[in-house]
Formats: sequence, C-alpha cells, structure tokens
Amino acid sequence: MADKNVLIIGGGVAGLSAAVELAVLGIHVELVEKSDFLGGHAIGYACKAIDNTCVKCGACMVEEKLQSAVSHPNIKVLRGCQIQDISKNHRFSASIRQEPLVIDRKKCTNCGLCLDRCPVDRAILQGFSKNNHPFYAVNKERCLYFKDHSCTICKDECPETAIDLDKSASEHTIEADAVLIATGFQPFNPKNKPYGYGRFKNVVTALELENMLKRSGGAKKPSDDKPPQKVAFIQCVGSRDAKLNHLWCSKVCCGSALRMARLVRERQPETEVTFFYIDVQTFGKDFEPFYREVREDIRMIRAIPADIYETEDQRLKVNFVNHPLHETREDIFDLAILSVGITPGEDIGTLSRIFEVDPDEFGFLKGEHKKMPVSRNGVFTAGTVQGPMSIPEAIATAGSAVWGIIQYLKR
Amino acid sequence: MTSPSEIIDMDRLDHTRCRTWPFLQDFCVTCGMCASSCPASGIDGFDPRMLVRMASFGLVEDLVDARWPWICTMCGKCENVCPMQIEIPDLVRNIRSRRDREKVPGILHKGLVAALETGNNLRLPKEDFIFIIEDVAEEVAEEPGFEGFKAPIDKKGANILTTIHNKLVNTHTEDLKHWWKIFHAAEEDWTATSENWEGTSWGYFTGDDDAMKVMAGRIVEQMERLEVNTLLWPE
Amino acid sequence: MNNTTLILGNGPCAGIVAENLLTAGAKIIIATRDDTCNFDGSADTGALQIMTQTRLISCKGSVGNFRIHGTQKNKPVTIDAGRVIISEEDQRMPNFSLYGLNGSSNVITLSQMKHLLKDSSSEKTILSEIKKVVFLSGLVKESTPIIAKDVMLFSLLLQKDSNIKTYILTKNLKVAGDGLESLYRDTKNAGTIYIKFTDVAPDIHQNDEDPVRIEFFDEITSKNFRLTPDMTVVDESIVPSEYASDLAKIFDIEIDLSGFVQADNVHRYPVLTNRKGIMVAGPSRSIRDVDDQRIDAENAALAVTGLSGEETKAQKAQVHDGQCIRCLTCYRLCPYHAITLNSRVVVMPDACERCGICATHCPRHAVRIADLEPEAMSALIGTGGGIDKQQTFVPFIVAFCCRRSAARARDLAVCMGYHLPQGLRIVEVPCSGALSYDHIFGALGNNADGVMVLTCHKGNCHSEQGNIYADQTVAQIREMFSRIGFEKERILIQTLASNMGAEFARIAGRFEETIKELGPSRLKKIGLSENSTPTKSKIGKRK
Repeated sequence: MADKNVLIIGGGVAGLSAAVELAVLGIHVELVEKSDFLGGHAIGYACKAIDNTCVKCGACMVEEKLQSAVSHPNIKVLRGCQIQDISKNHRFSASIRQEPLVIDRKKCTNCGLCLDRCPVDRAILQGFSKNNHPFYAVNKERCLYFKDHSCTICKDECPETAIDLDKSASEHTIEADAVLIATGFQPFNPKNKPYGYGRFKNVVTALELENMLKRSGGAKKPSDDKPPQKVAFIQCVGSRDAKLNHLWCSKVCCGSALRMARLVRERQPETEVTFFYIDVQTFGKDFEPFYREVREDIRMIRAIPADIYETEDQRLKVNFVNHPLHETREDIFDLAILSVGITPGEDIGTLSRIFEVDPDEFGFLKGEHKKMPVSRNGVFTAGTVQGPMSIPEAIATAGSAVWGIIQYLKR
Repeated sequence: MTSPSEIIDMDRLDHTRCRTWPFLQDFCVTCGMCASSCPASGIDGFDPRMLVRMASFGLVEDLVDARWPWICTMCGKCENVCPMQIEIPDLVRNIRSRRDREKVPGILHKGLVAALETGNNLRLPKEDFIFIIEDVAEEVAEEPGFEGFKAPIDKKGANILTTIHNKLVNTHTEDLKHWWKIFHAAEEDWTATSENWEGTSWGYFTGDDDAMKVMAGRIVEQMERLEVNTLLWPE
Repeated sequence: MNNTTLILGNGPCAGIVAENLLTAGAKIIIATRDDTCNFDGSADTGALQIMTQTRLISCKGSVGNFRIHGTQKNKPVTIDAGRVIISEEDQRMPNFSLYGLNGSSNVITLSQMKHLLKDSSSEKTILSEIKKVVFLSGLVKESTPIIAKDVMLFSLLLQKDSNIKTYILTKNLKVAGDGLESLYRDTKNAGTIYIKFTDVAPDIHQNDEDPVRIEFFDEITSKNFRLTPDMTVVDESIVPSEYASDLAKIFDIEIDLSGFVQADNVHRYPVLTNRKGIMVAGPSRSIRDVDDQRIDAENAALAVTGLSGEETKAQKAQVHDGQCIRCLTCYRLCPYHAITLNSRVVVMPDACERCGICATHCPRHAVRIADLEPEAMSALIGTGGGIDKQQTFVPFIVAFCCRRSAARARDLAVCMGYHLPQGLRIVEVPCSGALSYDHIFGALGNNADGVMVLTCHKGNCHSEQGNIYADQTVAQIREMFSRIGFEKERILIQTLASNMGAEFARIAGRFEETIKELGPSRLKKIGLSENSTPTKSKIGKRK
C-alpha cells in the first residue's frame, strides 16, 4: 500500500492517532492543520493524576500520539492550512490554502524572546508540547503588524531572524486516495450567559483552567496571578440547553471538572471547591470510589447558579439556590470555572458543503461511517467532529476510521 | 395544602391534568437556574423550580391555595435563564387565575371590579376626575416657563393618548406634573381621556385574562374614538 | 509466524470482528463454548474455521506463535494461532438485593421488561393489567448510560404504546451518550415522571405479592410521596462473564477492578492487553454500547493487521544459561508474559518490551538487558556538578527518567522556559522497572550528590508494575541509608506524566535546594575517582 496517500484534515488527537496507524502500515499521510500547533484542544490539557495515581483522563496520550506523528517518515504535516475545495476523479484532489507561517521552523530555536518583547497581550501564542515546533506563533488577530503595520519588534529582535511578517499565503494541491475529517470541536463560548465571561477576569472556562494547570501546575486568579481561596465549578454551560438547541450532554465535562477539582485540592489544600451540577455523569472504570472520595473533598450543590456579579476587588458574587433548601444564597468566590460544552466546529458548514456530508440535527458530522463500516465515497470522520467524546474514545474512533480507510483503499 | 409530614399518594395525582398547559413545564430538568435567579426564592419555602414541578405532578390545589404564587413579582428572570424555555411567569398567572375571586389577595380584585364597573379602580366619577386634572394643570401654569399650560382631555387627532394611574389622581397628584412638564417642553401633542382613563390593569396580576381584554379594549376604543395612533401606557 | 487469528466469543461483537477480518482476507478461527455458533457470514473455505463447545485451558507461546490447549466436546484439542481476540459477551446481574427486593411476578429486571415489550400476545396481556410502572435505577450504585438508555426507552414505549404511567427513580440521571438527552426529553413529552435523589434514597417495602410500596421525600417539592406501582423494574449491573475471568487467567492478562479483561491503563486503549498479540474487544473489556462495540471490533481487526512489521532494533532481555537457577522469578514477574519455560528459561523477543523488571529481580543476574545494565548506564551518567566560578556548590543531580513520562516532561519544561538545575543529568530508561540498587549506587559512585527516580504515575506504567517496583527499591534504599547514617533525602522518587513540564521543573528545583542544603555527597570523598566505574555492590540481592 506504499503507493497510497491519505489526506487527514485536522491535527488533534484523532487526526494524529489515525496518521500514526496509517503510517505504521506503510501508507503515506498528509495531515493538514488549521492552526500553527498540532494537538488540537487536548494537547493543552493537564495531567490530573492525584496521589501519584493516574486518573485515566487520557491527556498524556495526546502527547504520545503527537510524538509518534512528528517523528514518522510517512507523515507529512502542513500547518496553517485550510481546505478550500475538493474534487474527485479516481483520486481526491484537494486545494489547500496555507496561511503564512510567520515563524520559520527551521531557524527558530524556541528561545521565547519574541514573546518576552511583544507589547500586546496574547499576540504571540505558546504551544503546549515540545513537539509543537516552533513553540511560538504569531496570533494575527491581535498582532499590531497585521492590523496596521505599526510594530515589528519580534522580527527585529529575533536572534535567528526567524520571523518574516510579510510572508505570503500559498496554495497547495494535495492528491489523496481517501480523506479523513478530524477537525474537532468548538468549545461553547459563554459570553452570552449571565456569568460575566469576557468581562470579569476571574471567570474562565474549563479549557482555560486546563491550560493554566498545564502551564503552571496550579490554579491562579487571572486578576492577580495568586492562588484562589474559593473556587466554583459551574457545569453544563451550553449543554443540555433547549434554548440554544444544544440538546445533548457533552459527556466529558463532569469527569474533567471533578478531576481538576481534586487536583486543585491536592496541590492547594487551602482552596475550597464548590461544584454546581445537574446530574453527575459516570466516567472511567472506577467511578464509584472516585465519586465517593470527591464528595467528601468538595461541596457539591445540585443546582446551577443564575448569575455572577463582580465585587470591587474582582471577586465574584455567585447567586444560587441552596439545594435542597429553597432559599437563594450569594456566595463570594475568587475563581469561577464554566464547564463549557462541546459544540460543532466552526468549519462544519464548509466541510459539509465541500464533502457533501450532511451534519446531524445538532451540527455534528457523523458521516457515513457511523452507520457503515466502509464509506462508499472515501470520506471518513473521526474524533469530536462526530460529537462529544473523551480522548480515549477519540483515539478509538480514529482506529475505526483507519480500518475503514484500509478496506476502502484495497477495493 | 399538604403539611410537611403528610405523605401524598401519587395514585391520587393526575399528572396529565397540567399536560395540556402550554407552558412546557414538563420539560423541566430541575437544573435550578430559575430558583437561583428568583428574588423571591425561599419565601414561604417556595421557589420557581418547586412550582414548576408541582404543576407537572398535578398538585394544582396546593399551588392555587399557596401564598407564594402571589409573592412572585413576575420579573421574568426565571424564564430568561431557563434552558428548557419553560414559561414560568405565565404558569404563575395561570395558577393565580384558578383562585376564587373573593380569595384573591388584598384589594387587587376589588379594584379590578371597580375598574370594570366604572372605568377606574377608585370609582371616581367623571366630573371629579376632570376637576382634579384641571386643578393640577392650573398649578403647573403658575410656574415660570409653563404659562398657559393646559392638560388636554379628549383631544381629537392628538399625537399621543396617555392613560393615567389611579394613584395620580388620588394620593400622588403632584406626580402628574413631572411628565406634563416634559410634554410641554417637548411641545408634544398629547391627550388624556375623560372616561376609561385607568392605566392599571390588575387583571394582569390576578390572572384574569378576560378582564385584561376588557380594559385593553376600552383603551383601544378611546384611541379609535379620538383618532389617535400612538398610545403611551406608563404602567 | 502463524497468520491465523483466534476469535473467542459468540455475540454481536465477535461477529463484527470475524466479519471484518474475513473481509480483509484474513484467516480466522471462531471458538465458543456454546453449542452453536451465531456467526453467519460467508467465507472462502480455509479462511474460516468454527469451533463450538470449545473451552480453553492454557496458552503458551507469544505473538505469532500461540499454542492453545482446550477441550472441544470434552475431548482435548490444540489450536495454533498468531493472534487472539477476546470478545466474549458480558452479563447483566439483577440488582434486586441492592434495593432490598426479591424478584417476583411484579418485581422484574430490565431484561425481563425488554422481553415483555417485544410483540407477543402473552406479554400484551400482562401489560394490559398494569397501570403504573416504577423503574429503580442507580439508587445505590451509580448507573451507566447503557442502562439509562434502556430505562428511558422502555418508559417511553410504555407511556406511548400502552398508556401506562411510568416513574423513573434515580440519583444521577445518565445522559452522557448519543441521543440520550433527546430521549430524556421525549420521555417527558410522553408523560414520564422523574424523581431524582441526591443524598437520601427512597424507602422500598415489599410484602410477598402485594404491590411494592415506595415512600420518598422529593427534594424539589419538599414533600413526601408514596408510590404503589403495579410493576417495579429494577436495573442491572453489567459485569464481565465468568468465562472472561477464566480467560484472563488462561492468557495471563491483567483485569481491572470490576473483572473486565483489560487493565485500566491508558496504554492499553483501546483494545490492547499486556500481552502482545492478544487483544480484547467489546463487552469483555468494559461496559460498551453497541456503537462502541463495533468501534472496538474494528480496532481489534486493525491491531491484528498492524502487528506484523513492528520490530524495534533495541536489545531485548536475554537469559544467560550458566547463571540461571530456574527460580522462575522472571517468569512470574514479567508483565508481558514474555518468558517461557521449556527445558530452559527463554525470553521470547517479540513479546519482550524491555521493561527490565526481570533483570532487576533476578537473584543471579542471569537475565539481562545489555544496554540497561548498571555499567552501561553508568557510562551514560558521566560526571557533573562541582564548584562553579563563584565558589558555589553546584549539585550533580542524576535523574533516572522513564522515557514515556519524566524524560518528556523535562523536554516540555525546557520548552516552556522553566529553569532547570545546572547540574541536572537526565538518564532515560524504557521503564523504571529497570532500575536496581546498582543503578542508584552507581550514580552515587559517579559522584552524584543526589539521585531522582522519576516514574510514570501508578496505573499509568506501560508494564503496570515497573513504577511500583521502583518505588519499593527506592524505599528500601532510603531505609537502609537512614540506618547507616547516609542522608536518605539524597534519593527521591516521584511520579510524573509526559505533559507535566511545570511540575518537573518544580520537583527538580526543590530537589536541588535540598541537596544544596545537604552539601556535597560524602561518597565523593571515599576516593572514588571521576573515571572509576563502580564495582558491583555487595549490598542487596545481587552477588
């Protein structure tokens, strides 16, 4: 099968997993990733081991798949790429647009000087893995040069002259015998929920907490970088919501939040944690003992708060009904973490059009694959583009897709 | 009303009683956001989540007899946050509507009856109403800058028709002056009406939709009679 | 190298595995204890062999060469296969006793309700007598989405088709599955009433054939209610079949806490076991719904396909006959069952994963992995630390890092810009199970001021046990040191994962502080020169 080529769209855990499985079998893979970094969302998740014991969240698996993928000779990665269109004769022919990768990966030594010197917050982004190379990327939405050419500090200061702000976009065509769509999900943006996200510094999403834990090993208040005394987790934000037509449970947020809650408690024992929920979902194979322990460790309230207001010193007043009592309480927290739901990726519409695959009623792309083992038209899906799922499940769907691809390539 | 220790036999409850109600109360997932947002949560041991569930169970009598549905301010925060789009304020009104009218709290129904019979909550006769309006208008005209001020009544073809809250011709007549002065300064062409001028519509609070229809209908009638297109209803 | 795959199982999952492999042109044997085989796919003769009434007894060999003994129709039989896929079905155990109930005509299980709902006249009669059904689910032990789906589906059918009032009593409603939130909504639309409990459970009373009486406090309305259903349906626990645990023993495969045939270890995902060439799919490995079972089956088929070309050039464990005394320690300890006993003890290279546990535990140093021997590792350690230009003591810290976790965490720490101790030397090992006393003493002998052993987390070790043995070794060394007056704080063991860059930096930084306070190791003054290689220590198990 060494003459076969598979195009994988999306460099998250599902895409990387599938790439490795295909490569090991001798099939060539071209993996296109939209952003500057491989690993999707999950590469930014922290290890949540407690008491020196793995909690099976799967975050380290992402690192492992990424490591295998970047080192395998059969896998070619193109970052900054988005698919424009696709046509098919005997093979697929995909036209790809590659946004300029401003930092040259051959020259960059990951010294980090660009980030140090950049005057704008979050205009230079950091990766999450040593296999994110370069470890830095220019965020064109915030960078001043891309707004009005007013700043070239990073380019000027880079000791390796690795930054070329004027690099232009390029077009590529990729020929492939099969295509795997593994474009992942979009976390729900809670800015329209009454929790002050985007206005109050100390209201963050669960993914932002994951990133925080990964980068620094502990939870910190964004307002002053100090550890929080009282932390609130609010579940089901953007899920189980008929008003938004998000009539699904995002499956993984209970597990993620409870594991992070215990991690925070272990690292920062003075911190109090409150968990606001509707129904706790089962996760992992030893859920029962974990659930028992976590209930003794944190305060769990079976009601969702209705709003958050900010105090003068950027603390958060959270209003909630004190289940099972009927009265409302207003408690003050230092940090509120919104467990935002897994929603369809922003490119579903484009992908659906290009590949003529219909999204389901909620906008997820199951593709033919969920119903048939082998796709008739050579297009497969894997990972959270299909719907909410955990990291191990995403890896499993990737394996499943690869099996389908192999059968398809053989016929 | 059931007492706390009493055990309710679910056999006796007809859960389908309220299933025909269009408020979507059956879709509640008991997330508690309504109760978290409600300013009246906890009063009488009630909260909107409890109310929705009792409706879902068919515990209608308990709800009709309870005081809390009348404490609800109808602010609508609950409905605003509810992820299942349950129309809780409408549910509350429906429960209110099921009480015998003589059991409606306070003067709400009495005032409504007065308004239905006489056109205003106070049973204030027309001449007395006109006298009060003209009297207050004279006081306004005495103030510098408002010379010649007159409060129009039954002016045909005016731009705006305004209703009047009964307290403004009873205990709070001074408050009439504030917005009359604004009208004057803006050179607005407005009018009040000599009959059916009542701005409150307590049928809204007591869950009396028929009464609301009558009260609204009367105002529309006035607008048609006076050929005014815009209504200012500051209630 | 045998290319046949042995599939164990007779349910839908085994069927999908078989179907997939046959489509791919593989040769398979399906073996089941049952009298008849349910697989009805067609195949070229020679590609498919079906064995019914077959029970396995033992398995020898390694990937590509499994020799399995069993009985077929009670007569001895031998099966040769290159791979094995275990895909037996699970079983559902009724939870009557959890709720204090006995099964009866009006207290049944979910499976029995499923049967009732199938189209059959006798069942319709039973249902026509019933007006109220209560489902008890997840009130003592937490439920799962698979059970929740059954409960909600049956409730929906009863409400819609038979106009029966249904109540679902549960603690946490499980909706973490495709379509379950919509199903929940549909049941509510049909009139199902849910009572959810948080800390308190309902009181359930049963008196012979009288209707069950359930009394409970509803948290949302703060009222007490009584239910006397005509039919009570209790949920079930999904557990592995008993045969599965037999198979686990026969194949020497790790099981998880519930008895499913796969360690609860992320390295095994999705269908691997601790033995190369033996996969487990579907209900044998975990509670899996129908879609997940198909995904498992396809992954198992893929794993079979992918196993051929995976050879590493690294050295495997080898037994040096002259030293071996057949104590069988290595045989018992090998997590991958890579050691076989014939007339001699032999390591099967294909199965060996170089964890090193055999070598560290062999009392005679007969089993060795050449490049992981203490001398070889010492050469990697070299020297370091010392006194810097400002006359400050720079501790020489040797960190034995498991390559899968700590070594990568260190790389991430560097990437993230964390400062690491100047005198830190990383020595990568494939598994911390390869670390013996001699490795650690060797580091100290190489003038290390402190030694860190950084392993994978418990439950995350690829060989499941390597980090546990390392933990024991370090604990023994520290205990010994404190008795002989050497600072036990110079040896540290800590668990890490590959993505813990910040924590690596913090651990290394704190350890450096500790060593700075302790000062240079006194072993340096005992005359061990920079270039000497340590003699094999006489302390400890080795000779």
